[in-house]
Amino acid sequence: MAVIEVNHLIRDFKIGGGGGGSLRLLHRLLGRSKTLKRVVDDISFTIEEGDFVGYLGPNGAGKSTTIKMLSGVLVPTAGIVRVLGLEPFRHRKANAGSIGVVFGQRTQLWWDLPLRDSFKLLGAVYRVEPERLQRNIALFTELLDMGGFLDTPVRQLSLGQRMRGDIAASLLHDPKILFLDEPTIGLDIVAKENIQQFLKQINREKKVTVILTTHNLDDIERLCKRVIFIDKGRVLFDGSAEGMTERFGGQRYLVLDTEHFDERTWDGPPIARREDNQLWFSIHDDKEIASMVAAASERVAVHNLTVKEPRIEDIIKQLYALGEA
Amino acid sequence: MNAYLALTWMSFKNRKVYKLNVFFRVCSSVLLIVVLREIWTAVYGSGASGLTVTLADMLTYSVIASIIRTLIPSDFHYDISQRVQTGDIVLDLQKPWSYLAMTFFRTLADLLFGLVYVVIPIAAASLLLFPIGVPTGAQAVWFVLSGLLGYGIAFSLTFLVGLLAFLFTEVGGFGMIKSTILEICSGAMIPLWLFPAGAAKVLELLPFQGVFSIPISIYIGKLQGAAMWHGLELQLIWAASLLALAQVLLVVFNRLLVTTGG
Repeated sequence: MAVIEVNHLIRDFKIGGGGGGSLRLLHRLLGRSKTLKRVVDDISFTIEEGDFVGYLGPNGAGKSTTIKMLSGVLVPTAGIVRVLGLEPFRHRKANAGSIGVVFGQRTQLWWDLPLRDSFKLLGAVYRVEPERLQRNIALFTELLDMGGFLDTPVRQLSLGQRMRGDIAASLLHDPKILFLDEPTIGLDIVAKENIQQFLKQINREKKVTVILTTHNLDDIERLCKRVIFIDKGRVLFDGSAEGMTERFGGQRYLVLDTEHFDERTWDGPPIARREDNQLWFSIHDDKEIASMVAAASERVAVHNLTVKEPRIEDIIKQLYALGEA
Repeated sequence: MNAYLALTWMSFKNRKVYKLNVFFRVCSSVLLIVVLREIWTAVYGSGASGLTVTLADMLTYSVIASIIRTLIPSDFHYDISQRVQTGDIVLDLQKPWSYLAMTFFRTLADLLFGLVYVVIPIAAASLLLFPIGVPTGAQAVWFVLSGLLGYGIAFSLTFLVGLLAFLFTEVGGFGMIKSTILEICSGAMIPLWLFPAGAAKVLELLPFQGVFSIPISIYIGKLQGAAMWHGLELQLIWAASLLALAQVLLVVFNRLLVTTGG
């Protein structure tokens, strides 16, 4: 079942000129210096229940704007957004009850009060029955290891602790869909792994559909079954994480360091790429490797050989480059 | 617990975190009362005519005006503006609550807080230092009702200023205009009956007097019977229309809201 449908979604921002502040009133009244910027430009995708989707793209690509439209905070300029069959902006309250949102750079927790108090308030706001709330708090406290700081004022928490608190807070009402906007930004490796483990678990056990924006490559590798890559408001890639690897530099290479290579007389295996004294051969099947090495070493002196695995950094770089083109 | 009441309770607890702030709020109120008392005593001592009410009533008037000033929500537009500026407003707009009601119940915590931690000390201080009359029976009930309606008007005015942040982000200037108009046109400093007749007539049609002049006049017994009913009616109409306007503009401005980044 598709839980999210996005169809030809467009969002423009009017960027007012003349700086901020009250003077913008004059500019607006005079209708001057308004420029229209298309932040989301004809995006379409559907997301199935239980998916774990990485929503990727460089800064300013339109990721957060899409998430704001999915959570009903921003109204689309054109196109259709449906979350569990409802248009989020029109049915903001109903939609809010079935989704959880974490904006990694903001907090929905009460700064000066203990974490536990924020949980209780959210329980009341989302009308979660007291027993279910207690159960969820206990469960998340255990999974996210929050026991040590549940009664500490949020302003005294470390970033990693606060982020765990924020993620738990967004799940107290058992939402069907969880939007995470950079939940691992600025976290150390331990906090990051704890959160990744947790997200994997709620996706698997509670069947929560997760949409995650991130710049952390290991988030993608460890968590995302599917990747949607956007840039300048457009979808550049939409498919499985393996599909992405295959299509963009997914190739594995046999790399030989040689000397005295002459392209004109070469009659060995086809060369995919050449970098100075390195020869790159595409590997389609592991069985080829031995014969390739043998064939190459008959023709040139081989000093070293390595097999290059696809690296997700390279793939992302390629995708970014695709956006620039 | 009901979501909105839970919100009021949380805001109340949150308020208590900064207790020193309260102490200074009380101090500034007491200071203002002392100054106004001196001014009015001097005015009455100068033998000016047409002052309408007795000195004792006038002194009571300024004490009650000072108390109301500390209780009405007058600056939460800064919070809204700041949340629009940082983009945190998306968190408020994303929740399954009415943004208007949410803001109202949050500011209500300030009222509760003010009643407990500001009004009681001031009332105690003024009873000891400069005794004022206290209404009883029905008059007290109508005063409280009138005060609550005035609270509704003051809330709506500040909320409307805050909403402008959805369009302009920074609303400090609008807030200052609102505060000045409210201070002058509401009878907070100078009772409306001391204004020129023409000006007083206009001011009596506007919402501002509903915040100060009407409740205080009921308190000192200047507004009674039919005139009091008329005053309460006017307050009710203004409070309801301003709240309705706030809700309509919220829906319109929400569509125009632009939040970029993170």
